Amino acid sequence: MSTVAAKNTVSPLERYKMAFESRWQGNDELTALRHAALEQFLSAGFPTQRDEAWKYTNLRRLESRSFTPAETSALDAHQPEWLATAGTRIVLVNGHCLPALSSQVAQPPGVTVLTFKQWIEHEPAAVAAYLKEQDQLTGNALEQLNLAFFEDGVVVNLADNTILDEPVYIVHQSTSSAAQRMSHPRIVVRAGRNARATIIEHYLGANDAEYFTNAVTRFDIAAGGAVKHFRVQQESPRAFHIGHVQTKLAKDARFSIHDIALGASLGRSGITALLEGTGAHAALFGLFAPMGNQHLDAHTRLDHIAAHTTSEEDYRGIAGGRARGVFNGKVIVRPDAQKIDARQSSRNLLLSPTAEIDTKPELEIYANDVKCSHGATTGQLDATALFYLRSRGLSESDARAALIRAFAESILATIDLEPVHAALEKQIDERFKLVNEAKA
Amino acid sequence: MASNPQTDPTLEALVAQKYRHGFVTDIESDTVPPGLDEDVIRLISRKKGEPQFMLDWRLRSYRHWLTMKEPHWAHLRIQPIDYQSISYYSAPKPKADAPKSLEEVDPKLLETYDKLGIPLHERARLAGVAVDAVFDSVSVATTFKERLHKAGVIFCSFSEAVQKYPELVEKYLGSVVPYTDNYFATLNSAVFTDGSFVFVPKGVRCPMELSTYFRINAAKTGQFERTLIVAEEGSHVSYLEGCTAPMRDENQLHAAVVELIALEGAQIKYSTVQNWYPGDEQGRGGIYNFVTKRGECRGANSKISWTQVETGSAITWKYPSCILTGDNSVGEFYSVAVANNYQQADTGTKMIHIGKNTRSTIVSKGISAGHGQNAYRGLVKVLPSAINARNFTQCDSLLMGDKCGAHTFPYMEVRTPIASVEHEATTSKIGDDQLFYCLSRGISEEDAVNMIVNGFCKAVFKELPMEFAVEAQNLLAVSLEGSVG
Repeated sequence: MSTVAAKNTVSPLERYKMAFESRWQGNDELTALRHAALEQFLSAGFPTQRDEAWKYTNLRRLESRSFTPAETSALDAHQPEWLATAGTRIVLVNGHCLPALSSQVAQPPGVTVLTFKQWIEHEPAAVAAYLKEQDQLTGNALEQLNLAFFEDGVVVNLADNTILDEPVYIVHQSTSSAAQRMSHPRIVVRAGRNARATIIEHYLGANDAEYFTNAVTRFDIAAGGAVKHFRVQQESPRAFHIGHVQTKLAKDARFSIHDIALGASLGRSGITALLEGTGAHAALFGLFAPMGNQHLDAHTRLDHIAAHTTSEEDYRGIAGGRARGVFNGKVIVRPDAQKIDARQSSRNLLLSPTAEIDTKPELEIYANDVKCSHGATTGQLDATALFYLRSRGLSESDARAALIRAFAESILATIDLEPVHAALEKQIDERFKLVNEAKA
Repeated sequence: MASNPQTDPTLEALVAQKYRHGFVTDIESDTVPPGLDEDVIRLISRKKGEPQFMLDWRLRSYRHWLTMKEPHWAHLRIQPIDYQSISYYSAPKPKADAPKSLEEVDPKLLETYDKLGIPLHERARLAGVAVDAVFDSVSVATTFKERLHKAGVIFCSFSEAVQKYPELVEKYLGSVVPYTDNYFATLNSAVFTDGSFVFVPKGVRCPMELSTYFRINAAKTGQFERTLIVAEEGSHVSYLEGCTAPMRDENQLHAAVVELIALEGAQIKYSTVQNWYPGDEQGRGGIYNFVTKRGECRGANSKISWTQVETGSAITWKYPSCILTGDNSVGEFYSVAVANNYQQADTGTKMIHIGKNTRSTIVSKGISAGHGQNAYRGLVKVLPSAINARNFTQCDSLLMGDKCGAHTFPYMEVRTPIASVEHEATTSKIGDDQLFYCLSRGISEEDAVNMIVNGFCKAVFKELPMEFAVEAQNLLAVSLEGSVG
């Protein structure tokens, strides 16, 4: 693939422009929006390490590839396991919804779950108006890239006072035919007053395929609403994954996310919560475990715009091999947003002398009646704990695996959805057992 | 609640307290017209009678500076600085010859120190402190030289060091802060006029605390000092730096560079009380304090400790850092930074762990009041070679008033698993319950606030030398009186 890049004299940004022009013509409102987004992306370009938000993550490798928009395909023969959840399952293959694989259960009244394509077909004007309102002003170049290229995704609407008992499970499956392709899925969840829902996003990829996923997920939670979000990233070990999650919380709304990153060669999740109404509460839990040559970056931003809002954040990183883990968490308290309670914790474990963890927990506070704290640690497995387990007859690798599992467990234990919890525990165990055996 | 400052006239009066150290001493200055080009640099170098290597170094710095851009990453709002409107050299007019003793010093200068409450001779004798007083850019008096000379310690102005010990200067100058380091350090390297030089030879424990009082005096002169402290194997030195400046309307640029070098087993303790003019209540005027301070623990078992109390300056932009190269070396940073009215502070430290078993401690206390913006920015970097490195960081912010801000930007980059890095930060205001408790015990609100703030800063104050600790507490009380929100 590097030969392709070398031969190609067209600049990386130029290639995106060409891909865009061959795909979208016409002069409807949505295409105009896409065009404007593309222009913004082209003028800003890929972020570089000179941008403070990308200080620890270098996108040059991603930039040098020439990805073209992905097409849908049949599933591969060897298929990674999906979660066994009850309720609605929507499967996107290479960024396109595949109804044949999806399973829709009867939704309670007031709940609609549809694909983004369907929404565009039914209400193109509403889609354009929504995107215009939500996305025109975001400065992030990669979110603009998604807006320019997105084709499909999922839209969940919950009317006031509706409660969704079963989770909505969204599978983002990339197959081997996605190699050298890119997809830009877009998820929109709008929860009305006092509505409740659980949304799972699961990113999976075929081994060995090099592709690019640039996902945007938006939550809009009205007063008293509550949304739980599980985001599990298990892309192919060669993939690029960039995910943006933005949540708006109105009065007394609640939002929790579990941001789990295990896959991708270069992965980054950007989680933003805007606490716009008093009494709103956001809880961010994260676990990233880069091994080998992986680079995983978790970026969070908790913006306390209204008074009397609270947030908690707990992120854990485990880095082994030659991997690099990055955590950057920012808590902002806006002027006059008094009575804020914000707690943030970032704990990191380094397993090898060649791994690196960079953490940057930030506080930006413009009001005085607040309680904000953050803590961050980076260290190794506790030698005395290891010794204790060895003295009880555990092998070196089992002892290490047990301690790593215990470290991860504090995040996993907060996952109250059993299929997700069980699957992740298994993943973590397999991941670290393998590593330790290779070492022994 | 009684703690509302808006309704309390006595508190209002206290908040409105004017800068106590504001006055201008009228002395004829030998000042170069504003502007900066190679000729000005040649002029500075010639006036100071410098050897060729210094001039070359200055010119290299200046040429590099021209290729650089002003940094804007700090959490600060800075009025654009016109570097061509600054006069880069200002020296009190020499009276035939340089003064040889205190009696020969310009009496007006001494008067200035008196007003500041630093009776030079008295203080020196009573406190046993040698004072190398830098008035604007040229050192005017150095006391206790004899005693230091006997111990073999060199403590003199930078210009004198360039004349007398050029080989030492050439060897160590720029070895910790290279002339290419950053915009303001490079500017300083090109135009610095004076500063202090300390050299403590092998095995010597400096017999007294060394102290320099810097003053900015002549209008429209940026002050660019350069301090270089070298502690040879097994030596020990404690250095105090304190600053006050007269009131003035125009922003003054202050871009100093401090370099510390600790060889094997050496210890350097560097304490600063900075109380430059912070601007008036509306945020007009005040000093821009853009300082590069860095120490290198070059030898094994060496130690560098920074302690700072930053109450002054309109804008403070400084990160006293430690490069822990030697095995088992120790870096420390203790800081209290106050931002009141419209003051802005972006300060913190960098601890670069390179050697084995290196340890660092960071304790930073930020206090914001009025419209002040206080940011802690720190980097802890542990390189793969720094096996068993340890860092502990504690940074707390206290908010007084609902218009101020407190920010924390810690960077932690860890590249070895056999290291431990911990960071903790909290932000809060003075608790109503704490205040209520004190008031219920018959303690006045002012005293209660003072007590709580002093308790908040105690971890840092206890690191200061005795006489500085008292001064720092008074300074803090004056800077913050009545700001409780």
